[in-house]
Amino acid sequence: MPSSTKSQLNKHVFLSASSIIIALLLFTAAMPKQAQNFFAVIQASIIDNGSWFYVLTVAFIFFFAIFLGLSRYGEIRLGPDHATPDYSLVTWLSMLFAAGMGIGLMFFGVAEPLMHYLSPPTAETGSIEAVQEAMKMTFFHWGLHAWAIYAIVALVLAYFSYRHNLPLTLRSALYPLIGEKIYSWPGHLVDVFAVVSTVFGVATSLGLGASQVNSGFGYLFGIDISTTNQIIIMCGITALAVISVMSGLDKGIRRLSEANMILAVILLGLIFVLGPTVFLLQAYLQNIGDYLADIVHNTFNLFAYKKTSWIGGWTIFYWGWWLAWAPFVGLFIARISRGRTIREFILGVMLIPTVFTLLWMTIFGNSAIDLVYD
Amino acid sequence: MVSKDSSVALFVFLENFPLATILSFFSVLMIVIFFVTSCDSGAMVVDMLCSHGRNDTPLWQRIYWAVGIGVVAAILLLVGGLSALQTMTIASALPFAIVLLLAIIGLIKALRVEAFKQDSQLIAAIPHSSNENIDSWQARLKNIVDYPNKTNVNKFISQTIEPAFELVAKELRENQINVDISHENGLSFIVDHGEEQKFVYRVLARKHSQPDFVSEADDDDEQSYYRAEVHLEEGGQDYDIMGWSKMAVINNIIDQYHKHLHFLHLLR
Repeated sequence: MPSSTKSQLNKHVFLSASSIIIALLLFTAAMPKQAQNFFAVIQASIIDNGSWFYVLTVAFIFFFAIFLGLSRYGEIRLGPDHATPDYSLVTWLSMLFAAGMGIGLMFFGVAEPLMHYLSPPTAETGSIEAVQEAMKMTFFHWGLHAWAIYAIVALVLAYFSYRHNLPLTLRSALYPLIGEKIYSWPGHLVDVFAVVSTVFGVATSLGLGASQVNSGFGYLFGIDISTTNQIIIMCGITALAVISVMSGLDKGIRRLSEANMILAVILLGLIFVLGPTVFLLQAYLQNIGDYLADIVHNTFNLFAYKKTSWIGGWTIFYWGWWLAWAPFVGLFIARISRGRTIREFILGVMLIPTVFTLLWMTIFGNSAIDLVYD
Repeated sequence: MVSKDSSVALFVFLENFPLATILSFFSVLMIVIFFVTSCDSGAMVVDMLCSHGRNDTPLWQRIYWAVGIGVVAAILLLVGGLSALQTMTIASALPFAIVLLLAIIGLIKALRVEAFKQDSQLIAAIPHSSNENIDSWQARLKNIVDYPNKTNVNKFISQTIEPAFELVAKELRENQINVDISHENGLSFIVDHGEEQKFVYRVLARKHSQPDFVSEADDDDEQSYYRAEVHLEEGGQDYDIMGWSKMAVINNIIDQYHKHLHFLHLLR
């Protein structure tokens, strides 16, 4: 976008967000136990009292996203009428995939189906029904609903930014409701909130993920699993990220995402060929059928009559997780989606990544369960 | 073993395959790259949030956030509290969900306005042949197979479109309607409606590549030409008015203005 004006740092947001991050960090570092208890109590009370609200919100978002993609509004372009997409379809999909779920797939592709299989919500542990239920629940948590949340957040931001020339930040989502006030403190507050949750969201997933990289290096090169090594890994990742940041979006993130997409396809292909190939193909279709057949039931399922802690530990946890990541991932997707129509956008963000994610879950999950089952 | 530590599940799983080392190596490489892209895109998003949504920020700002995220992660790793703050992040989904639902209501409102705009474009308000003043069919055909360069299009904009704008503006001003003609970003004809949405009719010289069947030797080295395209408030309307007569341009402005007034009527 040609523009003569130099970009301006918003000092209100920058300074408030930085101070809040430091304060929270100090509080947690000084009293890790109390902090853990404090946030755990809040989370537990949200699960106890707010589960229905999460389920309702996600259900609404899910059906609303489908409606938007199919309705006449689908023809509206995210940008002026004559705009064309900034990135090719493959590049666009690779980037939104890397931002949306990448790490989670590596973490949970094997673990989640196995955990459901070992302690299923309703089926008998170790039975065939447990296998089917494990895959169905994994699909449900990683499928259309998750991407619908990202899609709607990204759509709101992209629409108001590219079509109404508002700044591409979270505050613009509130423009229809509070108007020009988005440029003063109510707007700053919303953006500060997004900054703090993004920084802690990414930082904690990096920190927790350092252990996975550590155990990977342990397997490959026999390195000890220790906090020191994890700190070294963190430093390395940060250094690489700084290089990627310096090279800009169109070189750094874009090239890395494309490279990772290729790696993902190769890895998936190898497991597929080396594993029980025909069974995996059968399982993929069967899982999709099971998933779609129960999608309405599961969307609204709260185990209201037959109480279980399973729902709070899994479904509500995931809905909270996707929602918490949505300001970050949504803003990123909005940034790379200028020039697409709403229909293309919904189809691209909701359907295609879901098809790939579910294939991933089948190939890793079903293979893993198969190994345990035998 | 898996249920105890989900971070090793993947590697335990891969051990069951031939080529396990290669597969594990691929996986570690992918995990590292995913982390790098998350850290980078996180820094980019946070930086945009702090810079009025702009992406062309000074480098130090983006590095500040990338390093900041790394430092926060390292400190939490060292002193503990990773899971505490992760719990906090997930709990922040509740206020965000409320904001999101409000934002969706705003989106629905705005999309309804878009639908009215689309409807108003459909009304039949084109009683004139758009090019009535070109006297012969030869001239008309010549006009559509011509691929003008930038100078010619700009000359057309200043010699035909601008006078047309002036005439319509004069007439409207006599009816106490506020009209502004702006030279910023093409040539724009802007009617201010106060509280209601303003009308914008902008003509821009835009570059396109020539179709393959045109192969004139005397052309510029580059196979491109310019179109005088009409843009409304929503963006380009994809038609070219290059070579139209002043009368035809005036009629086109009036047609588009008529549609805009119909849109405002639908909106009320």
